[in-house]
Amino acid sequence: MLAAPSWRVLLMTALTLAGTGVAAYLVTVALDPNKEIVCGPVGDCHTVQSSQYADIAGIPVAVFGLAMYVVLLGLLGARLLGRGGERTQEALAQVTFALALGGVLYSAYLTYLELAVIHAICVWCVTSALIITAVFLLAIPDAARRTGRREPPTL
Amino acid sequence: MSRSRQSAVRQPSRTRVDHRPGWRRQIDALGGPVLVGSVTVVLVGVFALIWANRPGSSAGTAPFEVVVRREVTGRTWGDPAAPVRIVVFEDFQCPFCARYTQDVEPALASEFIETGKVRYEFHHLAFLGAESTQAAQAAECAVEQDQFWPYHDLLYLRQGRENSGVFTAERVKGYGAELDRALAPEAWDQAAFESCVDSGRTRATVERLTREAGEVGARSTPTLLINGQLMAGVRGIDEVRQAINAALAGTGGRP
Repeated sequence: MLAAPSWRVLLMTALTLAGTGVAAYLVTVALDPNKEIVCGPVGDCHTVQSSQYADIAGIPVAVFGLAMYVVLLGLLGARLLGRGGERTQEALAQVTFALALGGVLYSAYLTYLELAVIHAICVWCVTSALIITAVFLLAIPDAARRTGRREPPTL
Repeated sequence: MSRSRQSAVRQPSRTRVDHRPGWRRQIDALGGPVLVGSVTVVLVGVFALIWANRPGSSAGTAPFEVVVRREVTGRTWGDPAAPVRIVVFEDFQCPFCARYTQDVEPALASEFIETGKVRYEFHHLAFLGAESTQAAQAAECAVEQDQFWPYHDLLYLRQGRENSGVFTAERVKGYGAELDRALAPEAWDQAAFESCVDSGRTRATVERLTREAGEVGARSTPTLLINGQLMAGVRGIDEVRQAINAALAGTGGRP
């Protein structure tokens, strides 16, 4: 029988909800040219959002971030609800890990661009990068659990 | 599944027989097909996102042709004794300057510059960021080789989104090499051009010209100064033609 959702899944879900909020805010800013971004004491969100790296083929980068968080929420929701058998749960944990890995790598690239190319830091973007990094770290144990455990079928 | 079960039944002493092919064993050792597959898909996706937005990816790719201009000295073009003098303030990253250069300037050239009515001078107003300054500096290096205008044409042809890596030092040198291939062999010294760009020795000139542009009241690009009259936000050749004809009338030139 399936065990109760682990604290890791609950924490990942909470973080992903926060990430969804941040990404949704960045999307609304990106889509509304007149809206002034609310920025913390550090950084220059306007420079980051108006740079050429802020969109890919006309689609704001924040939209990709939001899409990733929404898919993550779906995966984590399915795990919380305990959908499917053990195999499905394993697969969900692994896809969550893979998606978070992609998020971390792309966030790392974007943060590098902010620091080295655009020379401006967007606090909201960094917040999202930190959130996805935490989700990624939390996703490792469940995804790795299966590794090496797969034994040839026996009877 | 059924095969393995059969074999397991037949050979109870060898319950751990592994029937998986080698590649499957390798994938399972890495975490199974779901993990390997999803990580691969995600990595490809991330790579595609980064590749789609790589620096300089917005640069124009239209083929370049050298336009022949008569009576060129540095950034100045046309008869030095022409009755009307036009100074044009531009930034190589400004999209309206590119449009002006491609749509208005040819008509201006054939009607007024090449006919000796207008002496036309390009003046830097490099105010759109680091790559504006870099492009202007490189254009000044082209001045040293008496090839400002073809290089100017090429920069506008290769213009991309502002500060997107289209006019980095490496790229502007690359446009020099492109010009080298288009011009006669003795017309361009690529090594001298590159060393000029690397030295940054034209920066002071660009900064001085940009400062002077502000002093005469040019705040946006393209701005024309037609015999001392400022014209900002050029909309088309008609507007410019009218202003030139008024200036020609004022100086007693031929209409």
